[in-house]
Amino acid sequence: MRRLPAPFVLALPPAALSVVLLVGAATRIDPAAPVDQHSWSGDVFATLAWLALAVLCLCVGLAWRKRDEQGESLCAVGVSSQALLFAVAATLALAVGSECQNYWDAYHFSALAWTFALSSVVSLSAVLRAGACGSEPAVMLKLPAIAGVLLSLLGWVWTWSTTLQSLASEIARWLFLLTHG
Amino acid sequence: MKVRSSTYGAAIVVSVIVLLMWSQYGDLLWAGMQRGSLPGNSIESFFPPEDPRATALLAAARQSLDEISGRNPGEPLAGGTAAVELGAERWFLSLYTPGLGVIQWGPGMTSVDGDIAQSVQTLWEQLPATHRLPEVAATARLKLDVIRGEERGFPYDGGFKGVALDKGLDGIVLRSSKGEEFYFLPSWGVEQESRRKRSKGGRYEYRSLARSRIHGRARKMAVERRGWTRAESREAEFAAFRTWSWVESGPGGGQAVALARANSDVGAPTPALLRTRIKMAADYLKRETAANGRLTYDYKAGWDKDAGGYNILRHAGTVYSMFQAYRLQPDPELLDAGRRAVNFYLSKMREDVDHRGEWFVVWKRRRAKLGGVGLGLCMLVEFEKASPGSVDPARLEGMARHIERMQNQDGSFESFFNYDDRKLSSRKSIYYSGEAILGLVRLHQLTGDQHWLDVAVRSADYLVNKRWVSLGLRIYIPPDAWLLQALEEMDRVSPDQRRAEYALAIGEVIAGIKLMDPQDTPPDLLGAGLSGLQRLPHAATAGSFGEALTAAARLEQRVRPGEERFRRFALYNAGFQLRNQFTAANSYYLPNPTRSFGGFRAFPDAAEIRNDHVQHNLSGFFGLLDLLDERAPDIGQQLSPERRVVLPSAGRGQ
Repeated sequence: MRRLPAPFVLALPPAALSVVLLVGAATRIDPAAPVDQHSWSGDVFATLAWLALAVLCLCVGLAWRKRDEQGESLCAVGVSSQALLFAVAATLALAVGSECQNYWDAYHFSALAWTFALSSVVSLSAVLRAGACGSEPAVMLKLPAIAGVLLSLLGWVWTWSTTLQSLASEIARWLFLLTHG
Repeated sequence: MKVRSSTYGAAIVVSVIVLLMWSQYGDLLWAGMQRGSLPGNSIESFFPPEDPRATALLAAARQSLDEISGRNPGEPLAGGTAAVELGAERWFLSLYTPGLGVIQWGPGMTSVDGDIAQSVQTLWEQLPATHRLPEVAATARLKLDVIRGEERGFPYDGGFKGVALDKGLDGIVLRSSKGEEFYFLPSWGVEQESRRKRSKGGRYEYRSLARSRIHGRARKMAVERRGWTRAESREAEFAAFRTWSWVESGPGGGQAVALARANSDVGAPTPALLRTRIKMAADYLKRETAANGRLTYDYKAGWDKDAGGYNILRHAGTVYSMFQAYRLQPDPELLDAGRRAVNFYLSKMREDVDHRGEWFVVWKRRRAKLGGVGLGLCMLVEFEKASPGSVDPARLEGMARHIERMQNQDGSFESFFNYDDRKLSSRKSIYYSGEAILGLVRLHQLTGDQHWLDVAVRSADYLVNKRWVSLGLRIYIPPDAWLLQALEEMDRVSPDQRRAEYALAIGEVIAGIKLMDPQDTPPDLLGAGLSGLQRLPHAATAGSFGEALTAAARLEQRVRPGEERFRRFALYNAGFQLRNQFTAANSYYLPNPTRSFGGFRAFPDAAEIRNDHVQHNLSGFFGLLDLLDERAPDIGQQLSPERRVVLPSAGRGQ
């Protein structure tokens, strides 16, 4: 049997977990659903997020040690880390949209937020390294990876900066007044 | 030309940012672009200025109506319009006839283009012959509209989500190919609602008229009133217009009251005005308390229908506000209604079979909510403050012990009590804990028993320091009005800087989602919360946010002397509350104005009066009055030792 190429093998686990997280968020976030309808609790999402982060770190570590010429493995893991960022962000958005505040603990939201932040850092490291090795796709992923880190920073600042929160309020007010007389 | 890889990356980033921004703000931005430059807030005066012509015209029309109806036969109007110089503008006269069924499809309306007496005659003849009675004229209200400014075009149905039309400010004129005109007056956009059956034989679902359906409603009315075909109404030319309008101040006549968006101006909240409005709200609740103590839960004033449903938690909150009103202005009938309502609540309570002497409340085998007992405790404490000796101390303690049993080791509360082995709920209500804490703080005010304050403090500390904090992040500060009130009153007896700061942070969260700048906000929406595109801001939450902001203002007075940020917010918020309470002036379009009098509508464009909405608004006024008037009762009154209630296990924990 032919062996699968290393980049694919390393990128697959985090990507697969991202898909599970995303599909779960799209179909299993219904905190008010009866027990027999199998909605997932906040614990499931938090555990899944941590697991995905751990697997991502592991895969990046393995890819880092692997000395392929063009940094393909790191680049491939970089791509799957971007997928994880998207899945976690979507999960957070869907959880808030479904008013999980009435069901989840702060820990569940924090787990997702930290997964996003740490994944973005891991993603940026992988992409920078792969880019340095000459991977063209990695160069393309550099800016998205930087944007992920910046978004994490923005989210973190949001949790304590009243200035940022006031700015969001001002935008909401401006849009309201723009559309109402 | 070779494109660099980093350019692709930049394109991805920009695309994602644009997508994110569009998903969040896209509708509003698109709507804003479609809206263009409407008159909006640039108008010189939001409410119509005094106009002697309007006063004279309404007086003449009333005289004519009374004569035609036989209510007050006298000399016919001499000279028709000669008595009132109307100028070049286009005037419309409307006749609202409460008591003759639902006026959801618009009042009688005619243009005043010749003789006032003739216009009134036309209006009178629009009524069914059996309704042309003096008694009808005695309760009817005349309203006057005069077109101001130029007509303007707008996209079909108001464009994207109807944004080119302002609810209550824009009217629509339709012109058919036959040369006929139909005017849909601006106020109809908020006076009229819509309803549809949820399912066959099921209950109705009532909604305000969506902004995007105003043009459609105008076309429908042209078909029904003018006999146009649907095709004619669809193909009719259309334009928007605005009016100044005035309505008679009361049933059967009165002075001209200026209207904008079908509402009258109120002025700044003063202690005298707040006292009057609290009395009106309390009278509404008194009238809506049945002999068995059950309150009307949800009255659809626009349709004069009880929508049914019940919520025992909200029942408790409502009765609590009735006793607040009694503390302000003792009224034996109000006390009696409150007593009946308390008995109704007590009849829904159950004793915990595993812990005798502990009591919870449940409505028809539904879940037993912590908040139901918390607000029940607030209600009974308020009852005892209003009428000493009315409440059984053992029941008070039994409820407090139930709340304590619901407390976990970390200070948090379970939201639901598992009785009769019902299915557990994973729900952790944001608000029940605040309600329970307020109940315990109020019990401490009544009894001086430190134990209950300690239970409350433990839970407050959990909410402040732990509930939304994890792994170094503070995720969220909910706009929890109950908790803010509890923290303010707790701060009086157990001050703590973190709790005080958290309380003010809740106030900031609430103010952050409100329109608090008088410079750029339409005057009738100042103090309102932000709303979506289709409907006007929610007026009912202004009540609970009023409770919160006045509590924040009281706390601010103590911990930030000299600052008046929350006091200012509370005053703006109260202005919006006042404008959404039904009074004689703004209930002219309801089928049964007398019943709705004193109630608070859910939205400026939806005349739904729910008992808890009245409670929040009444309590908000009560809190503001405490702030503005030194002679007003203290909302968190701590009883003196000689007046305190002694609980069966007094002294525990001391």
